[in-house]
Amino acid sequence: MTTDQQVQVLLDLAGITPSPEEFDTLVGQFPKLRASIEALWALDLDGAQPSMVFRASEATGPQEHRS
Amino acid sequence: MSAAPMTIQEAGIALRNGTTTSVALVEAAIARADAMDAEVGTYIVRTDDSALAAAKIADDELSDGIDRGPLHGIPMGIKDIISTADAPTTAQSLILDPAWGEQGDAPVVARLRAAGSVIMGKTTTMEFACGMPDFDKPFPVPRNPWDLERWPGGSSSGTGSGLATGMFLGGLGTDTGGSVRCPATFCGITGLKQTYGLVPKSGCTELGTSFDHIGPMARSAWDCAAMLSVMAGAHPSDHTTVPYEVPDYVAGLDGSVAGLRIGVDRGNTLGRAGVDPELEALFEAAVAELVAGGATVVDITIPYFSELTDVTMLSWPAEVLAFQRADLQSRWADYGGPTRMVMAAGALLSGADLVRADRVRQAGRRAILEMFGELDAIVTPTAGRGAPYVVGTGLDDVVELVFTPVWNATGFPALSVPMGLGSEGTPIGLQIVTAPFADGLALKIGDAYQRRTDFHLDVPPMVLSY
Repeated sequence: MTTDQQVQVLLDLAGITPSPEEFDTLVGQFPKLRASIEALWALDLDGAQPSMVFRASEATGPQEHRS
Repeated sequence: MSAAPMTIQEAGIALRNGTTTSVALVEAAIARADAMDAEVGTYIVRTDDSALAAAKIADDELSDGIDRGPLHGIPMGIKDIISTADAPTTAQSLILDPAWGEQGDAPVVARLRAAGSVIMGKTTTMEFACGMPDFDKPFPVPRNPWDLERWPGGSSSGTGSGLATGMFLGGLGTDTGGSVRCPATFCGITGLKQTYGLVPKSGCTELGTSFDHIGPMARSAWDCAAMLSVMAGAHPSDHTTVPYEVPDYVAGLDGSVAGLRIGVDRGNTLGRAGVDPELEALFEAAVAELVAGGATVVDITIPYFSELTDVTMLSWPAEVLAFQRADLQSRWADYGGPTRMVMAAGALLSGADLVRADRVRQAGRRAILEMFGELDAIVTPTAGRGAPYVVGTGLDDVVELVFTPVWNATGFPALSVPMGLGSEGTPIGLQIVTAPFADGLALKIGDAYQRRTDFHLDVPPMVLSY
């Protein structure tokens, strides 16, 4: 798939329709953006933690309910 | 020749010793706006009449022995993506439903008003605090009072330029990738992006909701401390706010940095291509002031610096796309060109990419937090150069220029204070970063630095000659 086609698919999924000139600009930006993303994938992370956490105060209700 | 505007601290003393009144402060602010706003583009809407009425009440209260604290009678500017009861909110956009702004004061504005602040009006930004200056839409283009061909920074542009010109003495900005600290560095003022979750951001249009902050902007760290003491604290309308006993940040300003261990990162900042040739000398002089005050300096390299910058700049466009998607689909042409292109870039990441970005964000956050086990603070320049030109500058150019987005990804507090003029005659700031909820320490270091220097009292030449 060409860069043009990849960008077109992603914009179609978002349902947005730039002008032809704007589309060309986004196509031009896409390789640099992908390189930034790939650099994040290339990192050797020492494990991942979930971003969703509950605060202790939020556990109060269910604990009372169980008792 | 006009006098330089007062700081909030100075105005508070003058209000209480009878050498000024709130009405006089507001009248002076109005006179400055009359003289300079057409050139600088600070305001979307001015509320002169309601400001004068509020100032009169503030004066009457002080006369009656009612003192609401350091912000009593102080003129404030509010960025026009934050709702206020006495003026519409446009977000500098044709898209935002006017009814959105009819919700009244955002919690943070209500807190400022309850503390006696006088709201002067709504200040310019970029559309939805996004993109770059747009010459095609019916809104003022903000300009930098140090050089009208240059940009005051964004997106809290009008709050930055209004403070530098004395159109108000304190103001609200918002910061998603640096939009409090960039106007602070470019306009020569002081601005704090506090810990994420410390200040409620409800009543403010979303940009990147997990990166957004409403922060205080003023002319000194003392003034920002006074504002943060009022602004901070959990609010039921914003579930991201953290239950936290808010200290009196002003009381913590003892003027000392003695005994503090401060990490200095030169490699990620001074070493970058395109920085001002004067930057290194300005920064080393600022570090030397901290050392002279008794701090110990440690050379460090902030881990994940470039990756966390990318996490911020890749992720918030996706977050704002999620907020604006329906309108982008149906009203593409009503958005400004720079705005819709930034939002469209948010469509170019996959779901897995965003999950990966979030994991890098958490890893970077943990690594820097670990570093704070050995350090009290980290300092860097806020930006590599002074203000860029209004015409011909793109968002990528700005991102290359500033050292701010890392702290939006981590949520740590970061204060920008002026540290002098660069080779182009415009200000550059020193960024002071501390661990989460150590906002008071960042303010203490900034205040101590400002007791040893007077860069924060410099004003653009146009302020003295209008």
